[in-house]
Amino acid sequence: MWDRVFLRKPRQELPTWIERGWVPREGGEAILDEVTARANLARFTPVAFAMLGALALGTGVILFFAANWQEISRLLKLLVLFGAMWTAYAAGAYALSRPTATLHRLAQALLLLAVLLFGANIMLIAQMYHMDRHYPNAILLWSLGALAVAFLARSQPAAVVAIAIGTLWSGTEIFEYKQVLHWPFLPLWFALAAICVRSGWRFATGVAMTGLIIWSLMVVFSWFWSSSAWWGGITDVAEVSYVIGIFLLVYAAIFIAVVAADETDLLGRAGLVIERFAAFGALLAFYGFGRRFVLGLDQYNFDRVQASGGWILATVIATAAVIGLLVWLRRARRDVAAHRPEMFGWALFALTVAMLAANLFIGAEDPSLVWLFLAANLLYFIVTVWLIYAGYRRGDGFWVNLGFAFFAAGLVTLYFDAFWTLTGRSYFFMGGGLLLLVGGYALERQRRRLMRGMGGAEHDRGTL
Amino acid sequence: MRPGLGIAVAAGLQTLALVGMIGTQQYTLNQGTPILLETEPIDPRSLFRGDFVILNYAISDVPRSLPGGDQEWERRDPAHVVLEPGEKYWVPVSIHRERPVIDSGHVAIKAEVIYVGVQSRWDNDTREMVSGDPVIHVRYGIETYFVPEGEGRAIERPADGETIDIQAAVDRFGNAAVKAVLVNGKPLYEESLFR
Repeated sequence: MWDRVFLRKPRQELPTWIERGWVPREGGEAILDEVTARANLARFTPVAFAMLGALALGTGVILFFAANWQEISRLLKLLVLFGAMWTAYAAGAYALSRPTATLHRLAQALLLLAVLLFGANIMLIAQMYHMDRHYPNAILLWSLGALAVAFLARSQPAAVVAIAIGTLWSGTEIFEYKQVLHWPFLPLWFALAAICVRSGWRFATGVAMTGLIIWSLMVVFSWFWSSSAWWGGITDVAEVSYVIGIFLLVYAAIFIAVVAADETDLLGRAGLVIERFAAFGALLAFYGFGRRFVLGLDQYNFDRVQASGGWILATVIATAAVIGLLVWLRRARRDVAAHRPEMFGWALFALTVAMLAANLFIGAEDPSLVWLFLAANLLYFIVTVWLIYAGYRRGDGFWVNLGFAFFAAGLVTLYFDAFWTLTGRSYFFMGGGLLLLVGGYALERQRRRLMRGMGGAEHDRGTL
Repeated sequence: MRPGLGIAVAAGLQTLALVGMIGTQQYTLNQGTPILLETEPIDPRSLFRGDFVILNYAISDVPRSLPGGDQEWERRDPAHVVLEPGEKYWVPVSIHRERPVIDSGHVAIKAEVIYVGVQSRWDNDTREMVSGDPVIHVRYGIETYFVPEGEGRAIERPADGETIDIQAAVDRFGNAAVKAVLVNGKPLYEESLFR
């Protein structure tokens, strides 16, 4: 064990030694870091034992009640359930009232425990009173309870739980109850995202954006499945490409809106998180759009139909929103000359809109469908290369890595998309495999060279 | 808002939500119209899940031949089934999408369409499922009942000569709740607030 006096001495003396030049600044800082880490380790051991002990005790108490649950009267059960929840909240409130940072962290853990107990209470009360109606409502209630704690108690862990449970709620409504486009998720999501952004919670904001992307994927997948006879054929599988196109525009709009808001630092620390997740969502939609089975080109071909007025209107509205935001962004940056990557991005966006518009009007048996497939994938790869270049120019490794990742994903998928039905498949697999091995190695080397070339500097806000 | 006050408000809201769950159930039990429902043996090939009973009712299969009401149904559609008292048990009269205006002495119970197909019944003599009339199979939210461990099987599959009936309550909003499980007319389990 480290002697507390030995730990205190370097902390007290080192600043003086550095100032007098006896110890180099870098060496002095390294010594202080080492000493501090060991001191924390020394304090960590009893804390770890205490946590393990508390965990074991808590588990024992829970198991005791579980073993005797049926013998306990309903009144006592309710007292136990409510008592446990209130105790967690009271302990959390007390810990939060103390000035110590450690106790504040403990308070967040206790609030998280209380939120989890609330969920358990919902399920246990439903069991006790034989409530068996629309069960997703119980999940929604849990999410709303967690939202209340996130907002009223400023608890990031509660916000994360609320988002996760809210996404689960939407998933049950979508897949169990065929709510293919489950709109009620969005107001809940907006409320949670607003709380996260206002509080400056970067992790919870990331979880919120992840939840939105997962919800988008669930909507797309359910659109596929709901076209089947088993689901009742309530949608047309040919519409999946229209859904994906709208999601592409929506995520692009979110990205541009956040970049524009960033000019006035409206979103604070959370803005960068939203920006990057929105870009990921847009790229994911772009990736999905160019797939053979989405455009109706695969061996299980379905009859494509020209889009109805509703789909055209929805796409026009989404496009108008993106254009409006781009104009707003340009006006916010009127003092900044548009550099070439940005102007090229505008051109790519225009081509993307043209591609989505063409998709709305191509029906079955139209030879233009093959050209649309080729154009979509070519444009996709150009966008990923543009991202890599723009990220390199801006010195932001995130965009470089994102571009590389989607480039590689598109390449692998396109390989299987394009060559799956050709004869002499084995030769193409061998050739393609060699290409992937060599190409993958070359891509990785290029990526690392670009990253080194950016000097490992701090990433800026990554606006393109 | 001070954090402590915020936590107290959040805890209070959650407590209200939980009390509300219990309160709405008790409202249905206390204020609802009591009805007696006939249960039917479940398919023994279904798994008995833990210590709760899966209840299957005669009114779970609403005949498509019933006059009145709506005719086109799909899985997971919400519905309202109108029941009237029969000789002993309540029986379905019609099934509707929207809650209908009902006559005195009838109840309209909320339901969810599970499937539209042919009625299947368990035949105790031949020990197999047999097909019957076209029906709309619905779920009322009273198909599960939690019992002490080990006691559920006897309710799901009663012995010869034993009848298992369910006394339920249906409130004016169409919500149903199980009031009592009756074996040969005598209550085996009865619901109350704290028992």
